[in-house]
Amino acid sequence: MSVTVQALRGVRTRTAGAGRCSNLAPQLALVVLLLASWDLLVRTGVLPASGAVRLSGIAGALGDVVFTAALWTAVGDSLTSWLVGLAVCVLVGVPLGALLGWRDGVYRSVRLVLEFVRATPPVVLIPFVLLFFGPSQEMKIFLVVLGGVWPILIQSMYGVHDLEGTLVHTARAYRIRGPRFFASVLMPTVLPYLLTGARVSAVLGLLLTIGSEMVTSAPGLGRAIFDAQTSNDLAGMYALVVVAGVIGLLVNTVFTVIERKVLSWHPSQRPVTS
Amino acid sequence: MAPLAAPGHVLTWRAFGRLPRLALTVARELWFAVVVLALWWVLSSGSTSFYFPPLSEIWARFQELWLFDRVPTDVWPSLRNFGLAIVLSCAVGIPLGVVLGSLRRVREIVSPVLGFGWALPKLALLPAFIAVAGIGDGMRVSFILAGAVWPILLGAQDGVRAVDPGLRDMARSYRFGRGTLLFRVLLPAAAPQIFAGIRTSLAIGLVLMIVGEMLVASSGLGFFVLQSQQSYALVDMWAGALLIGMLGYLITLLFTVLERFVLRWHFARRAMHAAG
Amino acid sequence: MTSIKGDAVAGATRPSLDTVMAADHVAFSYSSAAGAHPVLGDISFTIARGEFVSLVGPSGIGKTTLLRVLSGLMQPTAGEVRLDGERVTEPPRQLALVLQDYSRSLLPWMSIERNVALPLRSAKVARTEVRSRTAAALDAVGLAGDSEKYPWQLSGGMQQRVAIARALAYQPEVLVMDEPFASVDAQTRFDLEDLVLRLRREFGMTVLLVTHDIDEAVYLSDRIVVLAGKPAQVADCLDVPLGPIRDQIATKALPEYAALRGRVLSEIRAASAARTDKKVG
Repeated sequence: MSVTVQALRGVRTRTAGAGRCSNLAPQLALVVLLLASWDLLVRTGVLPASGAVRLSGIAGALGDVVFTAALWTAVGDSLTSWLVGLAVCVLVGVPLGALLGWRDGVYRSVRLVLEFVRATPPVVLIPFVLLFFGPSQEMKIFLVVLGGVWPILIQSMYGVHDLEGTLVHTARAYRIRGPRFFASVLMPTVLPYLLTGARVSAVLGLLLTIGSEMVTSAPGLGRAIFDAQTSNDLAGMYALVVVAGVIGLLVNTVFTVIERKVLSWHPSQRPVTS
Repeated sequence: MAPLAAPGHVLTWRAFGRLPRLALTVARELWFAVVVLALWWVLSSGSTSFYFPPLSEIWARFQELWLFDRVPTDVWPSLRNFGLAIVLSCAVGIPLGVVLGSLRRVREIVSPVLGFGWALPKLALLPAFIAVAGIGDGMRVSFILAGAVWPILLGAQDGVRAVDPGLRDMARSYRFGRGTLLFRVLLPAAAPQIFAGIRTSLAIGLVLMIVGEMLVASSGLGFFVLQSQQSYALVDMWAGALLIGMLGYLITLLFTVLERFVLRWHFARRAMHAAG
Repeated sequence: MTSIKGDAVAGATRPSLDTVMAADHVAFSYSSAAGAHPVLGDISFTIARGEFVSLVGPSGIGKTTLLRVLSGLMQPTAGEVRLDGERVTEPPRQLALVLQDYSRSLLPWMSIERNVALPLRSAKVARTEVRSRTAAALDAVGLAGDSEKYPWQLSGGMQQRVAIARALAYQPEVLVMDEPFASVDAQTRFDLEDLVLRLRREFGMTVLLVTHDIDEAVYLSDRIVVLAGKPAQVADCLDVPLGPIRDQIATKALPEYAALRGRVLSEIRAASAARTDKKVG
């Protein structure tokens, strides 16, 4: 019966692919509907005029702000601290996680402390980090690392733990060592875990970057949003929120695409038929 | 990996062997935490550093503040808002996720909007929430809700999507009603992924709660920690941070216990497959 | 292949007062972007009350598709399926399904007892009756002592027994089974085959079995419907006059058994050879 099942799957994926095109119109319609209902809610006064801005106002502000150097400086500041923080997360998290994954005893020993630190929301240290570093890039990077290192560390631990299972023994049996071991056994096993960890860390890091900018007035997009609100430039504020959303979407898309490209062979990337 | 023991030896060996083994397990889990705390206590004991006050002082202040003087004013409102937002997130996210998971066409149409909602760094929305909803508890709850609902919704959606077609055939051929299909088949099947979503929501919700309180509130834990720092009461700040850490850990722990109980079939089955 | 044409196959349809299930010129094709993709073409046969009928055919012929159409999970693109004279548009109440993949049809979050009882509860059967029917069904398949266990705690063969017990407790007129023993080892398979034969005698059920295993079909059935061709059609229909009581050793040693087995096998071979010739030509 396997042939029939295969044929069925083929049909399913094909219709799904064909569906993507025909969905564009309703997808757009939904977006337009949501935007229009926002506009209606503002116009009819259901949302207070003191807080909400009509679509035309937001669009106008967005058009204005995109051409200002201030916006791109702010975006640059945010992305720089985010990226540097993420790099440090990888540099610290991967080896530490590997150490914990390699020896079960080590993991058991530190589990309690690890879980405690991980369960603590990193933002509680914003006040302290602010005192230490001032409202600077270093402060933001420190926070991103503090909050973002855990997903990578945990995933690296799981990955190495997985490696311990059967593959290492197979590799040993076939005397695969050195660079070949690294390329054909270590990386394919651990990489899926690391990419998942990196994606979660990236999203969390972006959240922390923007949050710390809002609380501490360190330069960046978060501060710009908060400044716009306090100076009552509501249209400008909404425009910046849209920019933040687009950046979030880009980050998410980039990581999803990387995962899909690098791990096209991996079971987690196979399409779910439903 | 069941322990091997000759039948005749089991009773005697267990009677003597169990207690030390349990003690060993506990010791293995605890020693590092004890060492870290002890080091912190000893190294900070004579500290005159402005940033790192002695742990003994922090602990004394912790007891003064949180056992249970300021619990009604600062801890309870925070936790109430947080809890309410998580419950509402489940109430909104699970039904919506189940519907989207079941209806492919609707899911495909909604997915760009969902993707944007999921990817938007939620903290950026805070000023907009303040502008529209003011700074009351209603705003704080809805702000946490706006961030915490996504992982639950996506978890429920993916969980229902992944329900085995074989199970759906079975349910149809036995003519299960909608209620049976939903509560006996779809929801239990999606439960592991829904729980994973709630776990993420708890972490995100806690962050949003604290930042929200730092920026707009006049009470609550986030407010307390930031205010302590601004008035250079570093001991208070550390005591507050310690409490938040403990609460975060406790919430995660309680949730893990609940998850282990509700999904005991899932964990038992997984353990069995892992054992081969 | 010209002789193969629905009603033309002798013995496939037997007009009788006691017809339970009838496939009447059933055809099915998938539609995709590339156009219609026919799987079943003009299939007709009937099943009498109390009969054990097997549908056999080579892998990939569309047996599972036919089964899904017969059980009401899919609608035929032409023709109709009737059960007790009524057209099947949804899975009917009188029918219970046992699928090949037991691990995917039992609910891992419910004990075996609750798995067996679930269809009855869903149908709002009285509580005491649910309990007695569940207990009787589990007893009949030899799982009375395991009712509190979970499916994943059992071996594959035992899980398939649970699926059979669930069907029994449902008290269907027709038991439809799709390759039910394909995922278990040989010894378990013999045990399950004998179990099904015994249950069928005890409960007087009508059974429709879909299988690619010719031995299994001959050993179990009263009648065998052979499918062949692309799109699949009824190539032949033959009676199996081996009596109601069968034995894994004695029955399989009978010359009639070997003759029938040989006949079905050569027909399937001829059909697939004809298919290959057609493709080449």
